[in-house]
Amino acid sequence: MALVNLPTAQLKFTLKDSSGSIGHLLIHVPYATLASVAIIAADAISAALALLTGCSFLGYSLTYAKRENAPADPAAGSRVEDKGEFVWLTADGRTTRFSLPGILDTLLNVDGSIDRANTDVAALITLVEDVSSIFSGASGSDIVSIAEAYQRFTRSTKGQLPSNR
Amino acid sequence: MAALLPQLELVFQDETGSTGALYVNLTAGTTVSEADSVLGGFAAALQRLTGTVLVRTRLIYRLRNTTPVAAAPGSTIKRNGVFLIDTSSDAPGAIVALPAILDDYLIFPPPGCTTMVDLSNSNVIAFIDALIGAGVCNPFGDTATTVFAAYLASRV
Repeated sequence: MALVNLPTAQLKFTLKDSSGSIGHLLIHVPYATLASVAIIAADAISAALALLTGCSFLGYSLTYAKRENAPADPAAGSRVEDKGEFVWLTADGRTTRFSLPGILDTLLNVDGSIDRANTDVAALITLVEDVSSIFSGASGSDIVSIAEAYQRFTRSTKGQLPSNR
Repeated sequence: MAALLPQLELVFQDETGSTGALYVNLTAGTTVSEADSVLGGFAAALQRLTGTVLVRTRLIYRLRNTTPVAAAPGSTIKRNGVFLIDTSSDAPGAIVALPAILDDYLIFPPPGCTTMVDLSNSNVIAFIDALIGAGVCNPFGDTATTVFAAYLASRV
């Protein structure tokens, strides 16, 4: 079991035509390409394609993807709609959050809060709060402490409903 | 161009096969290697808390054009300039499709023939040079060497 790089990273340029419809130009670059190098190249491509297209150029994204090459079986009864919500405080006084799908029931208190004293939960909190951590809020400010942790359910999408319902 | 914060996406799959994603922002300037060095431990810590399994991750850098020029009247993303790219070996080639290519760069043939992109045009050459200079490759990682043909295609 391991996360394996895809062979390439993807550059996707987003354009909008006169009707407001969105289109993309997609290219692949070798996965080993440094992000800084790819971004410089993407800026050059952006300038060149802007001369060739009638669309408005909105921006681009650079994506490095990995896949688990031998995933284990999910636990029986696991559901992605059953989420563990973690709310964090950042150094600039704002909050940020992420949701973990399929939170284990063994980590929950009776009232639905997540047991922060649990060793595995505490390990995650320590990792995210670490001074040298690269995780941040939307403003770019470092995450400094946990504010809230609780169970939350999201509505099932049509694709998540049983096919034989 | 304005850079947004890099974002890490982790996708988990449950017993039914449904997937859900966790998103977390990274500090500005985080490199791929820095993200990779943290990803293993972060994924392992999350995996201990969930009954789902991690199936894929993405590290995404986004840049936004802060001064976009309005689209030309009548432009449509369905009208593509398709560039066919050759690689250095017997490996499959690559295709790059540019939405709403301008008529200025097309060679209109007699009826019944394919409308080609003018590969001798200086702006087209600059675009191709930018692609090759970026190290564009096919989805398997085989580096491109040249654009050998380009034509107008309708993508509905």
